Amino acid sequence: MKILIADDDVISRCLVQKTLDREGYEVLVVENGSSAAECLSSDEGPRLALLDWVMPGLDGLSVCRQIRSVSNHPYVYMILLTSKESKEDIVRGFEAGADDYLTKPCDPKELKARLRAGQRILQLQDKLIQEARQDPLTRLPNRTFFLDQLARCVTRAKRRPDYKFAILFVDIDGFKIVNDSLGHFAGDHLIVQIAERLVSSVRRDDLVSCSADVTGRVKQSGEDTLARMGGDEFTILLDDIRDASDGIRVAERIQQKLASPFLISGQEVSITASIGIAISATGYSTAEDILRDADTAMYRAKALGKSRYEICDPAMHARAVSRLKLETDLRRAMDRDEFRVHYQPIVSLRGCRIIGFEALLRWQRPGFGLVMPGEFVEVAEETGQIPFIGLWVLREACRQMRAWNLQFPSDPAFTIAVNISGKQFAQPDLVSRVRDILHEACLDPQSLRLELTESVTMRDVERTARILGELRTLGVGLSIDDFGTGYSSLSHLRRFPLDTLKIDRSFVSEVENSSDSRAIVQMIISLGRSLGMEIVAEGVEAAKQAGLLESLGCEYAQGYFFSKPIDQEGMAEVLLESRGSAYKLPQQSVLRQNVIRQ
Amino acid sequence: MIQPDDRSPDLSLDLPDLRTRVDNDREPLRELLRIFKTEFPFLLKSLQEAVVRGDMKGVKVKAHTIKGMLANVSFAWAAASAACLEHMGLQCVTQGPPEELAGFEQEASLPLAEHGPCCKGIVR
Repeated sequence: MKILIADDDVISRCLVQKTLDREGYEVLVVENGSSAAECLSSDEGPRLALLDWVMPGLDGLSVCRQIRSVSNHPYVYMILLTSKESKEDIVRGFEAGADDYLTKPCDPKELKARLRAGQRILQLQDKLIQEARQDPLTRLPNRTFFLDQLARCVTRAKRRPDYKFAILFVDIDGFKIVNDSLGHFAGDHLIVQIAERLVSSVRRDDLVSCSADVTGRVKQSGEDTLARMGGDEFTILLDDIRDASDGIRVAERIQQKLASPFLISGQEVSITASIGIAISATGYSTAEDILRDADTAMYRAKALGKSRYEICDPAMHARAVSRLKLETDLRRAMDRDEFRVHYQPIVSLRGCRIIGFEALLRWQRPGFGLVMPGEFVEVAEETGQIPFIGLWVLREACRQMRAWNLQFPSDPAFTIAVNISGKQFAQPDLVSRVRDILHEACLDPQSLRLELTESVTMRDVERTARILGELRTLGVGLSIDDFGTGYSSLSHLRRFPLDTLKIDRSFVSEVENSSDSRAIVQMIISLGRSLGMEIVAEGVEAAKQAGLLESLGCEYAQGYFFSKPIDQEGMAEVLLESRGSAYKLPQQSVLRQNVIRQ
Repeated sequence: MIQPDDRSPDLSLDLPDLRTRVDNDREPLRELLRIFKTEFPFLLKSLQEAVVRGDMKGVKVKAHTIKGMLANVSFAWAAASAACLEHMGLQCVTQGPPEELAGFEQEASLPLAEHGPCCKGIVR
């Protein structure tokens, strides 16, 4: 091991050097503090140092302080050599960053013992650093180390406009299937083998991969880093590249290397990888930014069919930024009272009378106007906000329904239909929440209809039957939304206490022109009636559609032909104007031009 | 190896201490004493000059170096005397250093005188 002796006293230097030579140390000797600081700061410099306290120029204390001020340098164990023995001096030495001290003249046995202690500490520290920066399964650098290296590259790119680097985000397609079918041990085994193939894919002919060096050594320009981020995700930092083609070459090499099957637990397993590539040329201010773009590109590769690579282009970058802003704004929307409920009337096809409403969520997003759910519900689901938003809509709709039922009495009373998302339906306390909201709003449960899609009800049929039964016991009506688009088992459907089937708009829009759609609509109506359900056609936009649906036996409908979804004030106006005619909607032309407000 | 017979006479040099410091190895001991013989007169001269000039910072620095050197070759009494001069330099005591220096020179003459027989005794 290398060790530095810094002492201006030639005899002291000579004595210590002789002792250390005999112990097998590689001894470097300097006569002053400045040379000591320079030597210890250099790459591959010694990590053990004996520093005389009093030296001309920079003294031992100053050297300690200088070395400790450099945070990203590997730790140097420094022992002060001193004739000072007062407690105050010793404390000053430790405060300056010294690890130990030896009183001069040094006793050789004590010197050797203290150096051995220092070495043990350095070894322990290296082990801890190694463990903190290394993935224990693959022995590759982990996320912490990777982000550290990436941050250095981002900083270098800011200083040098000609410098470029790339990030490859590698995700193994279908890894979960291997894990679930062969077990976690086999999954781990596969990950190790994948890591080995990735190592061989990354190493460029003229460059050296530094994948194993995680002790804190400063990465040299031109070295690539392969890391495991966790699970089946790997990242590769390609340093000092010419252009995107370097990244593409590595991505293609990875696909090629992973193409041959792996032998796991005696079974051949074939996997592929989706790879996202981000190039520093786009300009990034933080390591997290470029990593996220590579991640976005990887997701795009997945969405486009997997087993491929995608490069994050400016449009993708813009989409990622826009998505981030959407997430941020969405998180604040509830607190800022930006959500709105709009109401679309449901009418009887015979007589064109309003019998109820569907409550529809809108977002009054500052700077964007009124935003439709299609633009944010997916994000709300991914960020876990949808159950809260769903409850808010339910509460608001029930409150409004109660107010309208008091203000605009009808026989039977109006009903309000509220959509329940899959995540909401999965909440264990859904029934008690609905009960509480009805109670708060003083709304007759029969005025509420909860709408679920086919796919939600079919996920766990036993649970669905139980929850729907409990809701029915409360007195709440239940509808199947978008019927005909998902997969329904008729025998299961029969077990659910449903009141209404809503025919999906895709069949309604084709009912005039497509005999197939007409046949499906006819079949849904027959099915619903035979099960004792009401039928509501969604998305009716033309008088002919309305007429045809009525002739096929459909009782109720909603859609732009009758009214767009409108806000609370607008709908109150419609109700006020139609109250005298038992809530019969006025002539369509009049309604569409004058009454409906978006 | 240094043999028990090679012990120096009862002088101010603590030879057992010095032997321990070089792990009873004759070669480094010989080298140390050779360095001492070469370096010490120059250091002493520079200390004397600093005292004459009344340069107390210089006195402190030179006395410190001499103290360390003497301690390393196990001349404890002379090292203690150098420490007194270093302290005076540190405190900027202008009255006394010439007298203290004279005392130190007396102490220091022993190492210079002793190193000869010592070396002869140790180094063949």
